[in-house]
Amino acid sequence: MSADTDDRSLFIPVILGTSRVGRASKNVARFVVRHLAAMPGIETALVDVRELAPRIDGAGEEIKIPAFSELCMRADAFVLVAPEYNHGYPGLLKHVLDTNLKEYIHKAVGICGVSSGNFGGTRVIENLLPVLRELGLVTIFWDGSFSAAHKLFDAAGQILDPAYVRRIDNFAKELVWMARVLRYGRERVPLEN
Amino acid sequence: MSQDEVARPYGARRAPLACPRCGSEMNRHAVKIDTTLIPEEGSPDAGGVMMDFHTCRECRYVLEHRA
Repeated sequence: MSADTDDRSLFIPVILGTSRVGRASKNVARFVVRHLAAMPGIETALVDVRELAPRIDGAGEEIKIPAFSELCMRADAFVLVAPEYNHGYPGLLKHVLDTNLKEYIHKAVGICGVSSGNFGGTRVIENLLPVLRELGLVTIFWDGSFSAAHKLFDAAGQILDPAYVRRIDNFAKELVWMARVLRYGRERVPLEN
Repeated sequence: MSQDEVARPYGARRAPLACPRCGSEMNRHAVKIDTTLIPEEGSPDAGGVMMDFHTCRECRYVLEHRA
């Protein structure tokens, strides 16, 4: 079996990285989930950090969330939907990400930055990159940048600007390519030693 | 490299492990310093413990252990 003849589906969960009330990022996360779910050979799920309710009074293995760790173990790649709060990422998203390590190693990740202003979460994307690298994740170079997020969707949660569909399609295609290649590598290419 | 150090032949690979969940062959694909673990005194892995990571080809389980 090679990376291009592997016909198993890819599992790519989308992590909604904020728990705030009124979060515009939820529409973005749902938009990405719908797009991935429509692609052949892709399974996806929406993971809401609010619903994970991680412990904040422990460390190491004791703060692991078993269901989330199993989901990450099964995942071939991840999408992070991260709003930009004061130029940074939400603390709860970082805390949730830090509950795992081995579950991420050599898996692909793409970031969708979300902002109420005009920069589409560019600064939160840049700030997340070194964190994701340290977690062993492999970032793609397409980003999702969602500016003025509170105006991007209608009342039913449908995106109003069709240009975002084309952009997220490019994002998703690179993520799928990276996920396929890395899955082959994790399973078939031994580390020389 | 010290005078006493024995070099592995180029391309030498370790024998694969069996998956603790399904028994299938695992692939060792990563080594990383885990900075949440405290190294033994005198360890060259400053700031953490060197860990090996293996992925099961069948059930996707990931195993980590000290390198």
